[in-house]
Amino acid sequence: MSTGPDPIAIFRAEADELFEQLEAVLLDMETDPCNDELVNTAFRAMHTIKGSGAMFGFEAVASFTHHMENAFDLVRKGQLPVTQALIELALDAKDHMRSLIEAPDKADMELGEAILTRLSAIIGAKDHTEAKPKPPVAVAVPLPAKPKPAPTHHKFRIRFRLAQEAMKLGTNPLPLLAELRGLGECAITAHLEDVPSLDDIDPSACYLRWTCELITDKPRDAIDDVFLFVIDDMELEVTEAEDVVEDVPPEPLEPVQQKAPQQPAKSPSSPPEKVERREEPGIRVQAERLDALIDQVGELVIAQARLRQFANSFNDPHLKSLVEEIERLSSELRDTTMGIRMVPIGALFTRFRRLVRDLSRDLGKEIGLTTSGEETELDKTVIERLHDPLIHLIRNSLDHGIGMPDEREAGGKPRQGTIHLSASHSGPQVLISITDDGRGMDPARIRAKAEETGLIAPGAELSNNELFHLIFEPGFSTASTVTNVSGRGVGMDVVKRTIDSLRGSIDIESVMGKGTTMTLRLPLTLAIIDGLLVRIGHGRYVIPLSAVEECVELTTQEDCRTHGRDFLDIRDEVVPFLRLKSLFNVTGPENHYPKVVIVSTSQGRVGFAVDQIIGDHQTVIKSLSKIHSNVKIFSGATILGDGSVALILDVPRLIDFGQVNDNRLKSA
Amino acid sequence: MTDTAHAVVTLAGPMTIRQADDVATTLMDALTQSSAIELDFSGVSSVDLTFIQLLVAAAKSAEADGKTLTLQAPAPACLVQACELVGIQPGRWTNHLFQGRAS
Amino acid sequence: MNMIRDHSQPFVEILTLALADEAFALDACMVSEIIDVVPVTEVPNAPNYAQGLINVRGKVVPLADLRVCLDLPRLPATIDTRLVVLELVIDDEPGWIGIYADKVYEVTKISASAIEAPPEVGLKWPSLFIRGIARRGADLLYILDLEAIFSSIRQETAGDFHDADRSRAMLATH
Repeated sequence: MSTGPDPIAIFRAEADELFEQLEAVLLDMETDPCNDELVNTAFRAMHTIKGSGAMFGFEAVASFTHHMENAFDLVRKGQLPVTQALIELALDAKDHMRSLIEAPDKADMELGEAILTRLSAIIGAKDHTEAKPKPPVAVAVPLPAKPKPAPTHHKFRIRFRLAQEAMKLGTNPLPLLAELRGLGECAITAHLEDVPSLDDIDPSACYLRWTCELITDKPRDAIDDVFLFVIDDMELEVTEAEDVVEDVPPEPLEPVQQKAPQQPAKSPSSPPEKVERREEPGIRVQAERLDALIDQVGELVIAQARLRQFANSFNDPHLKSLVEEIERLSSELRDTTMGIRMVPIGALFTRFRRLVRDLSRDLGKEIGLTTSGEETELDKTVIERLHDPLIHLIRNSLDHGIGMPDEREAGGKPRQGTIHLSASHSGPQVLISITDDGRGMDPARIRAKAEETGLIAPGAELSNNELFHLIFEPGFSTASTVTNVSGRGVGMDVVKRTIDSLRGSIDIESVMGKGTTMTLRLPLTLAIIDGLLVRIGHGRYVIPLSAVEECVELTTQEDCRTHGRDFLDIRDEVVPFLRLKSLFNVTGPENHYPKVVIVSTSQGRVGFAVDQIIGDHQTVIKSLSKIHSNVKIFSGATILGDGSVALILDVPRLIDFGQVNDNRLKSA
Repeated sequence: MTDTAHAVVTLAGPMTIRQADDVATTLMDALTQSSAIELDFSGVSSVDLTFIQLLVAAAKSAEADGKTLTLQAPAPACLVQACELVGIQPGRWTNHLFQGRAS
Repeated sequence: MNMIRDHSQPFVEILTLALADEAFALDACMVSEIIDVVPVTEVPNAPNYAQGLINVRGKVVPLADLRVCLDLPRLPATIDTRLVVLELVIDDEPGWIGIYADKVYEVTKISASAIEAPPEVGLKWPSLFIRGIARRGADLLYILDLEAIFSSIRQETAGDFHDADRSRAMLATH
């Protein structure tokens, strides 16, 4: 018998998704208060939270949510208008529900009471204000709302089956069946063929299938209403058997006696309407299982590389073609596996709408958030770790970038500022940009501040781009007044550190008076990268290929010409380079023709002198142990085809390290 | 493992999704160890669909192994009502749910 | 931590090994496997007690040299040299670590009552490095507390690489 994952954890995860959905819908309602779909979605989210909450013992959530659900039921029925106050209240209520689920002991009960008091004030006031008349709403199934027909009797044949996991997710089928019976005269037959034998059963899965004959004076929509909250995941087929059955003689309710036909006859006048709403069929997988899968695929890729190396030493065409076949399969498997971890970034963007809305209100600014590229997919881990850096960057734009409405108007700009979040793919990287149409960054102010805090020497020669990057230095902040949003100088350096640790980089473009764009460049995935395998001394190292621009030869002539000063002349551009062999303090056979690998960084092009370039290498990244946490110039290690370990260079940190050493040598 | 010809499974209290795993294990043990199982549900206070499904599953297992499953005491009202609500009819895998009923 | 002197258990299992020419013991339950010497990848700028990485069945495992931690001579590898792979918690993070052993003797059970607490003074090493001292006939066997050793030595050598002088100083000790 299978023991599944902790149902409470599943409930929490489900609830989290519902909260996100609820918040997004409420925010949409602000601009589109008459949209019935939005109201229905909000209502359904609340209803599900209430139901599952009660099921999993979160009684406080259930009873609190019950009031909110009632309020939205009134909205659905057109008895309560969608007002700003109601949305405001619902957002607060959503936050409260979340805290009730996340930390039931710590939740502020007085806050909950206050919300409910506000709620009753809103509901009580509706009688005095002129409620906006709303047409009756056809819920769940996006059918145009039809005027109710005169109460005549319909005969429906209904076949349905709930999702297997419906009961685990908190649905109790019995009340649904009771509700269905309540619609009219109803003969329900349960079909038991799909129930497995005892050794194969999952005790909390739902295996039954039902057929039902219903004679009712209610319209067809009423049947959908019964299944409102499970309709997305169920199979439901409704056939109207005969158009009107009038004056049906009342029969005693004896369902056991009534035999419903196994296959409802298809009436040509009204074809069966299959309700299938499976936009995103999917299963939940525990993160650890996914991680284990990624690890195993990683090891398969390594073993495959060893196999290829081994096979190359034989001249056997059969072996070769077999190896090629396995190579193709493992590379496809790798892509598929990586694909499982990819999720669209849209959900992350949605979370920032509330942030921008609340913060701009606090700051007295008018700011709109627009987004694009929500469908761009990124490794789930990367997305999770992007949350905090993006919050800092957006806050920075809100606080420092976009000015007060009056100031903007004086500068000839619309009163409302805009922050645009966008995501797109660019080769093996994902670009995420935060663009504002604010003041832009002032290089002179940044310079003054940096000189004042001793970050740079007075009069140091720095390009604008170099000056902009100073905002990511620890302790730097240009906000003259410290607000509670940002301006304490903490945060931006954390942004840089997080992006670095994701092996990404940040570009800044800013024009005074026009606005600023910060672009994060991130690798698609964390687990596997394409690398360039090089030899330095006896050791082999991997340089992430995404950073590599070109490889050049370090001629002895060139080496002499620079007199040991480590600059290269590449097509009239002076490029500094680091001699990794001496930096690493390692020994090994000299190469008479050392190579320089040119990498691009946010601070320009830098070369790494190495003894030999071995070639491309697909690298499964293994993190280094805590024992080596002080060695920051390597981002991890990988296992090569011959089973030996190679270190992966952390390009930005290696350059920092080289500069520190260089300065030390110069000052010595 | 001792194989006894005859076993009585007595269940009492609520029999819902929260108890479903335990109920399944209990029925499973009884079915592996005995060839004739009598069920006593007179103390059962409430049931949901999981319980009905488990009893159907037990009937299927018993049928496959040539064992018998019978209801000893009259079925409790909650089980009778749930079966009616769900639309369970007397049949191959459900007869044991109808034993002991009035009529 | 003091399980090894837990007198409620009559015996403890230990692995005995040689570092330089001294005999030491480890709590056997942390030993994952004992392997022959494999190629070691040098980690540039790493602290000198843990300069290498090895591949143990697809895992990248750091290789530490306890002889550096305990101030013992680093003898060249011989036919007896082994690598002992341990499962260990370092900084609250469980992980693997390999250590050099000049010779591995045996896994043995010793009576818990034969283990004494280390004296506060008079040891060659800080007493927190030693979990206990076992008497085996005339010989003394030092049972090492690896978690204490690694966490103490890590703090000693902790320092950002920005601190270039320190990095250089570390390199100079190669």
